[in-house]
Amino acid sequence: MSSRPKQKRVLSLRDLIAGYNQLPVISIKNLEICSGDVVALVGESGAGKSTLFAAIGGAINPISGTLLIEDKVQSPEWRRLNISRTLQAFPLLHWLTVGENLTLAAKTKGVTLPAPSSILAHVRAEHLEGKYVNSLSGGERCRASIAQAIVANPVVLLLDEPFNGLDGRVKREVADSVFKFARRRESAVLFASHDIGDAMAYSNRVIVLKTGAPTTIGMEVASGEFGSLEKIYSFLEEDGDI
Amino acid sequence: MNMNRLLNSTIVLIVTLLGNGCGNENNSDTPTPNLKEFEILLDWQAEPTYLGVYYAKSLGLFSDLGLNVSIIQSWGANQAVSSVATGRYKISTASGGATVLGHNKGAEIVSLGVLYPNIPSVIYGLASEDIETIEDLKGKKIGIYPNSITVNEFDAFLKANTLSRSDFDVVSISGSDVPLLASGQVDAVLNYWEMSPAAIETNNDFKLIRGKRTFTFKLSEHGVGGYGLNIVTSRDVLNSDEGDLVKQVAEAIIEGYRRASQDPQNALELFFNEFPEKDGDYVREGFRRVVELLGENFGLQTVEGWQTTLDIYDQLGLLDVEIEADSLLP
Amino acid sequence: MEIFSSQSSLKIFRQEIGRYVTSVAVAGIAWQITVTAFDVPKYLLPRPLEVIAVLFKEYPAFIEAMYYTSKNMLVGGSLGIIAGMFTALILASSKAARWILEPYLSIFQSFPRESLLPLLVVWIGFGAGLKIINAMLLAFFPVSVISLNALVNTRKDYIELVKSWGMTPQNILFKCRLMCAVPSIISSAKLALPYALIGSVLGEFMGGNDGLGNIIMTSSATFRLDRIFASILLLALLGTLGVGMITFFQNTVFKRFYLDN
Repeated sequence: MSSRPKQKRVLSLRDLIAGYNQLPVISIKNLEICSGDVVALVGESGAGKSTLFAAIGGAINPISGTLLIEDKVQSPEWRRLNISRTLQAFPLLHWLTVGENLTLAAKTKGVTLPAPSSILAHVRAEHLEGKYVNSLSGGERCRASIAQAIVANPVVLLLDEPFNGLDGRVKREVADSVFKFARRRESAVLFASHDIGDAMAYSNRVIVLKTGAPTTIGMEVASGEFGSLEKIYSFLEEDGDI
Repeated sequence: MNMNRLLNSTIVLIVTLLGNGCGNENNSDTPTPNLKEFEILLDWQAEPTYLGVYYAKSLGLFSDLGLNVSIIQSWGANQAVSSVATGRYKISTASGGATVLGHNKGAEIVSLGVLYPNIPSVIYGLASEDIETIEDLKGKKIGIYPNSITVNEFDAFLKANTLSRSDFDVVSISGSDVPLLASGQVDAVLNYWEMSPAAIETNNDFKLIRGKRTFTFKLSEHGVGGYGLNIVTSRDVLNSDEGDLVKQVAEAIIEGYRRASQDPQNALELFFNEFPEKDGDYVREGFRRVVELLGENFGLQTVEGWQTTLDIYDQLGLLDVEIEADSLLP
Repeated sequence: MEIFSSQSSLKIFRQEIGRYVTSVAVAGIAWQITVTAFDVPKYLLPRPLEVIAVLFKEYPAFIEAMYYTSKNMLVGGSLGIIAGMFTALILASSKAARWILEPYLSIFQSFPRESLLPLLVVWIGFGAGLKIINAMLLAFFPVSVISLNALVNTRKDYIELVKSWGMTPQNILFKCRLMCAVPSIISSAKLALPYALIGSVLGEFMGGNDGLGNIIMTSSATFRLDRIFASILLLALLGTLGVGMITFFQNTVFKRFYLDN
């Protein structure tokens, strides 16, 4: 992670309080995420990772505070096109091939897709184009799922538990693809993970959510920094969070 | 009337009502001690046709034989004949045709007495200005019950009158024929004279034309001979130690019809008690026709009479085996 | 659809036909031996050989009747299946429609639709229309009820996925819910087609002069049990072929809609 190109600010959250039915679930004082960043969100289930994703994705509106993307309050229409996500367990429509899933995703988003293989190439999965979803291995599914999320070249990519159930080598390959995409497209990638090891290994920043009412950011470390894993563990232990 | 008497008579009335209710149930359901359970099968539902059987029961003619009789209703003579042949029922009513055809299929059916010396089948329809003769029916839509023995009688009728099915628009029907006639889905129906033709004749919803609500052609008056309703059992039962008993039951049924035709008023009243839901006018008219169909000498049967019945089915090509007419008699 | 998969289904189809023919033949032989050995009277059971003989002897009449019955089954059944799917789609598309119309589905489910037959005869007569409408009526309900259930209970993660693409509710219904419901709809069609056969035969019982049901009725007037059993055999053949046909489509054209495709 040493040769970072010039970064621009993609996401900035300030005094953001978000939740459902005016009930705050997360409260974030200040968070900035830049292009090329791959940020891991760690926290126990129910800690507010999905709420944060929903707030960024535009599924819910902030109760208060500001959420800027590329320094602007973006319209829902813009967000629909420029923020995309993968879902837990990587669902894809099983009656379509991977290529057809991508085509339908692109068509629905209103973008023209030159060829599904060009997108699949980003995640090194060109060979999956004609395959049905159910014949895919866990790693292939993950790649296909990321591919459907990047058909419209999103500015922000949200990945929900992307490394769940993958073995080490595959995780590494997927993470490489994600990093490459983030840098090439100058996108910001956030992924949620319950596994601190994965979070450390496949990101450049780790944000630990601290459970409370509402959830706040407990701490942040840079993944490459010496002793950062120990920092997280000791934080969590003293806090009794995980 | 003072208060006390009013109260007393009210109590008496209530007790009487309660007593009546229980009494009715006793009559019909609970077996009377020392009487043997016995079932009589009807080849159709409890229509005026079978009033004699019900009257015989009401008069106690069966309990005189030591029997507590249940009268079982069914949906057709062929099934009734088969049920007797299998031994499920020992005695049943059936049409002459069903008796003959059952015999033909190896069911050794024996007639214990003929109630209708002629078939009761008619072609009938709603009275109309332009139908007076059978010729007028040509090209009209005639509904027949395809699983009924009457179909064979219809074919015999066609043969006897040098007609063919193509002279009419013959269509198979099922269920009640009255709505089919009323809605014009058919112009005429082949049915039993004492059943729905009687029901229509007594129903004021239908128009009177020339003093009648229906036109009727009796097949028996148009060349179709042979026996109608008769009482059947199987050769096996007849040869068993119950053989005499079923003969006596048949006698009791015939006696029931005799007494009913002598005193229709009383027979009808008892029938209404048992079937209060039945339309009074229809049952009265139906039974009047039954009495006419029974004629003078009902209960009797002859070898010649059965031979005529056999000939009809033979001429229609429906008999695979040679049947001796006297094998149909006890 | 891959050619490979349809070829293998053809093979399975052939194997299944062999299996069915064998098992029917075994039963037929056992039956023939039993009725001959015990001398079962003909008014109770015909001999299988007589049944086969009457099929060969009167085959033009049987073929004509089978054509009539199968045509009504297929036309009525297809109309019922299409109408059932259409109804399910309408109900799935709108909560208001579901609120007002769903009780009708329950009510019509709760009594035997056959009881409408005498009315239908009076309204539309004895022709093929009666059989087609009755077949349709009987086929409609399993399809509408099962399809509706499948359409409103689509996998949550699929809905979430297509929503994340920004799919409109109408497109979600057609491109996601309907596609997901295909296996259920096909299962319901497998139920519906035999119902359609029952419907058209009951219609033939009610009236008219054609079809296998009519042969059954007319043959019972003359105790022709051989004809009755021959008709039953052909009806069973029709029903089995109908369901087999749907299974064939299931394994070929619609294979991709099954999770284990």
